[in-house]
Amino acid sequence: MKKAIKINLSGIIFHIDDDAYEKLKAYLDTISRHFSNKQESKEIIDDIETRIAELFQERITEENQVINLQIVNEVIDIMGNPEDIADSGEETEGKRTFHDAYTTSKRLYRDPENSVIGGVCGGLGAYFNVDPVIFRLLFVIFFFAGGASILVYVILWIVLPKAETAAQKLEMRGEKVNVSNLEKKIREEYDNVKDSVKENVSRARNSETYKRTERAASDFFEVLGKILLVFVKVILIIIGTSLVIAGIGILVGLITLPFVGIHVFPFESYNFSLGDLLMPFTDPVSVTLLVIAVTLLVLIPIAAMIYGLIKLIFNLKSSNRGLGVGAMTLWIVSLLLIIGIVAFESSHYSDSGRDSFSQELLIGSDTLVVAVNEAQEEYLDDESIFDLDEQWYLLEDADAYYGRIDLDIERASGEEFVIEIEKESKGRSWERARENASNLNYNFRTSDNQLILDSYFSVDLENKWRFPRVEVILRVPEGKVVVLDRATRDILEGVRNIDRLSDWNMAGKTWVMTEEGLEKIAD
Amino acid sequence: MNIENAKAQMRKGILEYCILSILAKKDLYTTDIINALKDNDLIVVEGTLYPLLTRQKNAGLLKYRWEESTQGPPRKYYTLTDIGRAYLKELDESWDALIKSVNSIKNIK
Repeated sequence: MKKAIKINLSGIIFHIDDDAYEKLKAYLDTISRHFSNKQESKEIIDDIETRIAELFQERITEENQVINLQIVNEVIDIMGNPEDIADSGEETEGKRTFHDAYTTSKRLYRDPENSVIGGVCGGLGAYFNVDPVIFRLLFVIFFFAGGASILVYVILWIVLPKAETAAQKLEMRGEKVNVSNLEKKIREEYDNVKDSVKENVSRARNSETYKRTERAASDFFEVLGKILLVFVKVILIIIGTSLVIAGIGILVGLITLPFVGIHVFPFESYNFSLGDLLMPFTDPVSVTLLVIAVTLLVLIPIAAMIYGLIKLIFNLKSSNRGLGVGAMTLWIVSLLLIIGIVAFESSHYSDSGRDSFSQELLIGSDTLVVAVNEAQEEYLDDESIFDLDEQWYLLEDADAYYGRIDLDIERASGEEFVIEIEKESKGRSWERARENASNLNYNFRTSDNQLILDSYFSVDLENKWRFPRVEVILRVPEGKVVVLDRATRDILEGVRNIDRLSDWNMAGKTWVMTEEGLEKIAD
Repeated sequence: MNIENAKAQMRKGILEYCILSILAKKDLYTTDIINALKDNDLIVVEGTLYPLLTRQKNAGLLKYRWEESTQGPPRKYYTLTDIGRAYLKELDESWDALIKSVNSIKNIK
């Protein structure tokens, strides 16, 4: 079994053996290398190819449809060796001597195989043996920095010749133009042939009409089309580059997000990180895993988009399958990890439990003044780094997690003031929930006829935040008076009163408990 | 000095003249020209003809047109231009003169 490829000679498709193709390609390249005038060389090669096509056709039979090495050798014998062919045209131009053709000097060419617009950057890259992307970036950067680079590019485009023959391509890279290098280069080109076969086929279809058309006209449209194509490409590159720069900005922002604090709520200028936010809910290991997983979940698609854009802009053909599959796997693992941790953690909230406590306040007075613990308020105001609607506080170097209490005032059944504290929490089971509830810390104190309430309860750092709630119910006997300090306005929650005042407005006023409920007696 | 090389040099010098002479009678396509030259032992390998034709075309002596072919690729038919004809006429004269000169030199006793 032998591998055969398709080639197009003067608009006719031939199937040719692998080795025969290489021989033919090397032959034609050697001929074209002998002519210094590009235009002339192309014409001569075209003519020779046409003749070879005829000779091939004569040799194709019903039984043997494929051009083999023997046929190629025969045809080369008929056409003659490259030196003879070149010799016969020597008078036109100063013939490139053997020495010249085999020179090792490096020349600047445009690289058609590695081109985005005109192959200038590709050629520069080949000349300096640097990745052309660097030159492209420089051109784009200088374009944004003043625009002169476009002019430079256009001048280079016009001035630099395109590297077309294998010899020129070697010269572009500064490699020695000798037989073994030529062979290497030709083998590389052969690898590209498969890609261009399709193109050749469509060209073959059009070739007859093409040749009949006036060359000038077709050249004109070809040039016009190229200019349009370049125009579109330049616009795409500019848009794409902006997108890539924006994308990299977002990427950098997102990488730093989970680890460094950011301002989340514009109205609260506290810094917190994703890790800080998660710490109250779960253990440090899960927090670390979650932060990493969330980061990957967000970063991978953005990185993929940036990669795709860069590929699009700079015409990179190489696609790393392994990398793509790896990234996709990592993304799915991240997603599963998040789902897993969240599912596991959510079991901690499946049941709820209460822990109640009540105490008579023996104050020896008919008037009770309700105030809040100012020291605690100040402490939290100074230290908090995250404050969710003033309900839940995270502290820098926190000693505990804090939550705001609710204060309700109702009628007492007996003759004394009674304070009731209802602690509530979630837990994996009813018992655990009740245990969590009883672990909530809440303090109040009385002095003379004052009841001083902490506005906040706290959860010890080692006890996680299981959506706790603390409600303080003050029971006032009928006919007795409560004076609500202004500071209680933040903790009063849905207190019913005859005057139908809102919690906010109830604070700072004096109230008496009547048969119907609380009634305002003084501002 | 080798004889084959000398013969080749001689042939090469007159090849240009022969191409124009062949085309003076009628328009031909490349392979016809090759066959005519081959039949008369003026060329050994075909490849040598193409640079010559291109050069003559570029010099304005020849022009060509495309013609479709029933078998194979479209064919380039070459024609002498007016310049080509004038050029050929001068070559004809110089050829005759050359023959005369050579013969008379050979006949010197």
